[in-house]
Amino acid sequence: MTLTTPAGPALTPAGGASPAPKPGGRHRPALRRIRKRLVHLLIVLLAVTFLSFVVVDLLPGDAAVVVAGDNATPEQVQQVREDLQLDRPLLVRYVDWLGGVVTGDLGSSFRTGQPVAEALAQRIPVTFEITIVAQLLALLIAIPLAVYSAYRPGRLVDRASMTIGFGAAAMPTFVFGMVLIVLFAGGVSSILPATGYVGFFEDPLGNLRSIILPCLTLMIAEAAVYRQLLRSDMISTLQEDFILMARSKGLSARTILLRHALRPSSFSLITLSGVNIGRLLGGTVIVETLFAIPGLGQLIVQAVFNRDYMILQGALLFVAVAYVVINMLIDLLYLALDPRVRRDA
Amino acid sequence: MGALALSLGVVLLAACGSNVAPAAAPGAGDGITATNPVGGDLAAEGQPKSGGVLVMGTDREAVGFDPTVQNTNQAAIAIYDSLMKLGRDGTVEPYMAESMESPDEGRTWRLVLRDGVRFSDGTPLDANAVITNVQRHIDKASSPGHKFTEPIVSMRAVDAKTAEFSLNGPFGQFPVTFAGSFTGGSLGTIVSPAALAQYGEQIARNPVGAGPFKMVSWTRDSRMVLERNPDYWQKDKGLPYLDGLEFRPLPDTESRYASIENGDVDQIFGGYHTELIRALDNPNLRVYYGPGNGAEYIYFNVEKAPFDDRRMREALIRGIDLNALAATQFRSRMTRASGYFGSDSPYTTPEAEAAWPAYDPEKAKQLVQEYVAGGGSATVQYKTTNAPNRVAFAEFLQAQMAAVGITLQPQFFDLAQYSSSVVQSQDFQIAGWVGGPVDAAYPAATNLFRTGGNANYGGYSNPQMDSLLDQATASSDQAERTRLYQQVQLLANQDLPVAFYSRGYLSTITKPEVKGVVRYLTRDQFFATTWLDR
Repeated sequence: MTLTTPAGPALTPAGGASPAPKPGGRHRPALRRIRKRLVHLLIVLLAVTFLSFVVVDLLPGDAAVVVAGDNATPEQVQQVREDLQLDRPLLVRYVDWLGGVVTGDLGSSFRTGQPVAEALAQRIPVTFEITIVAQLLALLIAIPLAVYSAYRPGRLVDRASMTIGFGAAAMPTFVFGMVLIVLFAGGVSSILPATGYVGFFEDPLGNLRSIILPCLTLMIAEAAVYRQLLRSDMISTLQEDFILMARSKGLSARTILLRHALRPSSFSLITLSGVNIGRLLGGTVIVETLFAIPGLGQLIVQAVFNRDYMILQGALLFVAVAYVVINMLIDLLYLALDPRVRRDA
Repeated sequence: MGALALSLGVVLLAACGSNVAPAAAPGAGDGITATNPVGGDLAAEGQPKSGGVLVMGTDREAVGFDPTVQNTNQAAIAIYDSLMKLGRDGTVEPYMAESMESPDEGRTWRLVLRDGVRFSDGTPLDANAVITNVQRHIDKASSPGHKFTEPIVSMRAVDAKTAEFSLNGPFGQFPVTFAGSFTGGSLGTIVSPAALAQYGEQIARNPVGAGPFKMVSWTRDSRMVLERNPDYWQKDKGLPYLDGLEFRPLPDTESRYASIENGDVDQIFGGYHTELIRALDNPNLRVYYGPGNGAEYIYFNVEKAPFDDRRMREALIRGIDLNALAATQFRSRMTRASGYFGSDSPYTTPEAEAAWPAYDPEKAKQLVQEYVAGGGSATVQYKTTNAPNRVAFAEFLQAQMAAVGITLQPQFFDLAQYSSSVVQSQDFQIAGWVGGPVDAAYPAATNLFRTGGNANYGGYSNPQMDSLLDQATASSDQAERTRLYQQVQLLANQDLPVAFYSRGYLSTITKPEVKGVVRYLTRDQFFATTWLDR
């Protein structure tokens, strides 16, 4: 996925030689960007779903064997294969599936018979919740630390947050999750549940308790990377002429950092954060399995293990849509953050 | 076979070994003795209290509640109960049914139902309901219960409470097929015919049975909530004691165990050895475990070189140092297997145990040399799944075999691929197997040892074995059956179709206040008698 990241030298006021606006630029830039993205989306979706169909089909091991179970006879497996219509050619199955998608029918799970749309509707809010909360936590921790570290590079806060951050980021997610379980759920103390996700609308407080450990587990590596990224962008921004100008005007360090330097330094951070949200939507499987959270990542991995093509296709379709949409939103966010991007578009 | 979580769980364990209780090793390779294998001593547990909701952490999410679809579902027996039940000594006894008897040595069976048993939707559990359900297994070739119906020639409702089955020959073990575990397939889990008519295939998600509990809600991979069935057939005895049950699939082994230690759940199903030994060492937990029969072994493909030659099969078995195996793979706590039936089984005889090849690397080396001298190759491929503990086992085996002159090349597969491309296709020389224990000799021993048996992946075939198994299946006489299965054990220990080394480690682990546990060795629990002492 290509991202038109307006980071880098184009940001410096001196080097801001923007290309001339394209002809027909009367449309509002936001609308044009959205339109471009939608075409992009369609191509991505076709490519992703077709490729996953092919790849899953090429995986050795077949759905019929899994559905029929360990002790099934070859005749039973054949029966299941016919029932699931797996004996039809790949292309026929794909076109059939695509036809279903266009009419809003994502099919049903091979194993459980649960409609794919229903399964997704149950999983998406769960994964979305822990992803967003973890991202917000990561940003909440990373931004102040990064700003202060850039302001006083090499000092205690900078060095300590870097060491702790890299230590945590270097630890595999599941190890960090296990450490949290030992610390808070049964080992050292017993103040949080290790497993047992509760939906927000069932019990908001219980929901909060049940997502603390998973969100902390997800958050830590992200926070470390965000801090490092923002810190270095910020340090280079602080060397710009306009900061010198602001200093010479006698503005306070606080104003310079937060009002002048933070915004132009945050493009890489926003880009990465957007990419991460997209990635985590389908990629929180380790955390979901460890803490028994009924999310999308778990659904996808189980679908792969069980060769449950229908679930897998539906989930990948969603992840692809979400990825493109999130990046589109990030793109629009640039417009809000930097007037020059509006002109560029 | 293991769940998908297997790999993740074991990675976690390996990575986090520091918080694992060190195994008290009273002697390398000491087995784990049975502790309340089929449940607690109900009479000694005091006056049961009513009420409360038991939260159970399972190792995997159920596929569904359709008894004609093969899957593992620990809530199924809570919803359906079972017409027959395996008793403490492994014999079959009536449970939801009143009786099941044969007037003619097992050719005809009359299943008599109790008066007034109703499904939770009010439909009576009568002979027609049973016949409708058995017919589904007959009609659906992929049903795990289908094979049990093959001998059925005809069925009829003699009267409202009596179903009669006419079989094509004597089948003394027929009542066992109404007592099987949900995973293995059972004709004895009966669905309301009205619900079947209403839901069709969707019965898998909308179960209606006559068991102690009924379904309230089910959010997949999160929780399944059941409430007591007020019209339960044993309600006069105050059953079920619990107001409800909640099942939570906790696929990760480490966090599942953390959940019972932490008190998030009242009970877990322990799918792995690590949970079992840690729970045994924890005085605040109660463990229900029996090593049972069968369990972990290595399949020989007896139709392919080199293991079509008995000498090579014997060499492999004699080449495995069980002490080293226990120490390296089982934290010195392995329940050894020297044959299919457990050492406490009535089907195990000293003669059979003596026939099993003991660890003897010199003898193994000699057998391999003999085989190689005859022109054979001692380079073999060992196929297994890619779970970390299976990889560790393969490496262990590789080292052991190298010492006796067998060059072992391990190959690893993911579970679905392993099932289809290796064992089901019989595309291997030797293949690893981690099954659970089995509840009863029939049908498990037949599946494994009989020609064409559905677990006989190595292609073993011996007419004498087939005849013994068929006689045991047909026989209605317990003493005769015991004698036959003793011969099965002896013959298997002579023919060596598989290399046994360890029993299984499936367990139920509860908080001490969980009482009235009645279970099968494998995993199903009869929750009607379970109560919470709090």
